[in-house]
Amino acid sequence: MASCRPPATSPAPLVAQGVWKRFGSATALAGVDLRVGAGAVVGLVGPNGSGKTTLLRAAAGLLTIDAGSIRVAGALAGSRSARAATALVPDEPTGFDELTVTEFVSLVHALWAADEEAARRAQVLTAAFGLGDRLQQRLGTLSRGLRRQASAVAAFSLAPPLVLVDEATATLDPEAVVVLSEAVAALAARGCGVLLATQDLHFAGAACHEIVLLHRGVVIDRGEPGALRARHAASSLEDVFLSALGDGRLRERVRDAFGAL
Amino acid sequence: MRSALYSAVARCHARRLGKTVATAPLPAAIVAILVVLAPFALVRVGRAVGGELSGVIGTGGVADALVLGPVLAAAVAGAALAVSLPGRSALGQQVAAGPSGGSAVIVAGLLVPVLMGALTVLPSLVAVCVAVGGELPGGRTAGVALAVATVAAVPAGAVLAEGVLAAARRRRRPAIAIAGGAVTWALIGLAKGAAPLGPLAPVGAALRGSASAWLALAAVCGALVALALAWVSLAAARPVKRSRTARSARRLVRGKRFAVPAAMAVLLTRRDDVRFATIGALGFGAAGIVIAGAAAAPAPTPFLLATTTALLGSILCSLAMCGVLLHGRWLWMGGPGDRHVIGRAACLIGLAGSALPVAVVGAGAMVSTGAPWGAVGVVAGIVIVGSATALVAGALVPWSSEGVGDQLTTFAVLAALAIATFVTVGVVAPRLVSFGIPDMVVVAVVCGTSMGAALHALGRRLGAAG
Repeated sequence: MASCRPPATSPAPLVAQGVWKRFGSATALAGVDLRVGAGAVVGLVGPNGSGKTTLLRAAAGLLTIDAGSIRVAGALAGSRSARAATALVPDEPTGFDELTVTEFVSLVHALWAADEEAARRAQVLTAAFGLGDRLQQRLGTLSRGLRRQASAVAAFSLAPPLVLVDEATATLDPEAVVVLSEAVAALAARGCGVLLATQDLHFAGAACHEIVLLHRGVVIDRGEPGALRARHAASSLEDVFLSALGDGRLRERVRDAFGAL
Repeated sequence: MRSALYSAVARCHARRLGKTVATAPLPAAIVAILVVLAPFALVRVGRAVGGELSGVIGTGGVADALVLGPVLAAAVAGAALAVSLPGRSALGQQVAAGPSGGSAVIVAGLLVPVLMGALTVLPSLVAVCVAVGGELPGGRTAGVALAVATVAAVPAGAVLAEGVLAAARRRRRPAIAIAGGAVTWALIGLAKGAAPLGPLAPVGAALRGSASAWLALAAVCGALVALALAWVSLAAARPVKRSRTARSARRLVRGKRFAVPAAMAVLLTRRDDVRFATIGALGFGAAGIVIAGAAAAPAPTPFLLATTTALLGSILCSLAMCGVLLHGRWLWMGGPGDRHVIGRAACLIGLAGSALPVAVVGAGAMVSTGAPWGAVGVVAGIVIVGSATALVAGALVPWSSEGVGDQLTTFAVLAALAIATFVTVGVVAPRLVSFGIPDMVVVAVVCGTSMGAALHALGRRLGAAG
């Protein structure tokens, strides 16, 4: 799909080292190290408020970090060349309700100065997501899931070195999740690095080469899905998640508590 | 239950404003000082205007025109306020689903912005009106009546806007009722000698000294209360917006070179609030031409009245610009282009959106009643400075449709900034001219500084938000 296969010597799509970010007295990221190589799909997994979205926004240059460094394809995150090498699919692609799907994709292509190849890729992605008959509809008239699909079409069609996807499967129907998974795999096969944040552990296990567990702004574990399961002697990633958070008996505990309701 | 809702919404407003002040403490302090000082400066302006008019106030329709100007402007502001008044959905889905009554929701949304608007605008308005009245036969009481009449025109314009909204949403009964109210208004005005002023007509007579100022004051106070109650009840029962499902649109954003400004223009012009405000600007501007023409006001009065009235509605384009951009900040700021280009394009589109209806109305006024080119230059300057002020206000408290009453707070900040700008320009510009600097250079400096401030505020807000 993409034409971004980088030469072997080119810098990694994303390298984050010792990243700190505070919002007032709350620490969102506390010394996070992360690397997304070319052709890799890395999944950020963690409880709500663990810093996943903050890390994605920092990588996209939408907020500045307090300490550490984030480099996108060798350039400092937030710089023009870093932004040119990044495409973001946000959790809620707001602010463009009055544009049609086609207009929105055109705007994204214009902002990134995309070539004709991107337009062709957008057509393929539009057809795959089943948005073909909604191209002239305004984003504001679409459901949240469809808006996210339109956002994914615009971002993925750029096929930049780094693709960031927040809450990857949120509000998507099962069909769209399959398309998303295949699109991410195709981007990786072309050499793009993909960093996605998700709460869908089944999707993360199937789509990601590496999973990074984030908790209160700290990376508490990481590895390939199979290796994580083996390390925690767990049958599923859900059990890995609970084990890593030190809350393996969560189910029993809350069941007992709810008995008193 | 009501007080809990009011205090929660008020707390949200207060914290939001506190955050704004903390973000830009120096500009906030300067604006606060200027707003406090403005009434004193406006007393001098009022005395000068009153002195000029004292000799001719009894002739023709001068007194009625003196009332009509601010009343028309306030009516446009009221219409714009009504259009931007968020409904129940602004409370958020969870609270909106609660059992609060429609009026409670409206009052909750209005409370803080109206209070803030009253604090910033009312002292200046009363100061200028009382000073004008003090120089006229009607005296200061008539001046107070003029100020109250101007305030009463705000809900009057809002009620008219509710009628347009009801008609647009195919609700005949409220639309017909409001049309009937408008006819009654005109008939009352006709009986008092000034049809467009309706129940506010006694103020003109009071200013001339041909009627009791106290009676005029009582009449306009009654009209104010009745109109305010009518607006709240109409807004509470406002029909829901028609569904936009499956609505398609002509593709306007294409190509690469102009995709960014085209997208910004489309984002603005396809918004219902901007559309209604633009239609209102054209309508009220045209009404200004007709009314001034009917009163046989000499040129360039119809031109100035029509264009400045139109600007009060069309300024919404500039006011909403930053909020619209901020909502999609993830894309505008995430793109690899020069971020300053986004700010420049936004300023240009905001200015164009504000200027276009004024140009249309101005062209109409030029053709029908004529105006010297000097007046065109004055209006062009007012449009540029006004648009820049609105862009700054929109950057300080961004136009947002997410929180209840947010847009109204943006309006209140615009009012404060407009007063501060008016006072500053009024004090500085004549001094620059007295130093021998040509008028055109002073106008260019004022316009350039205003747009520079707007660019800076926009860039800072887009870059600083996290």
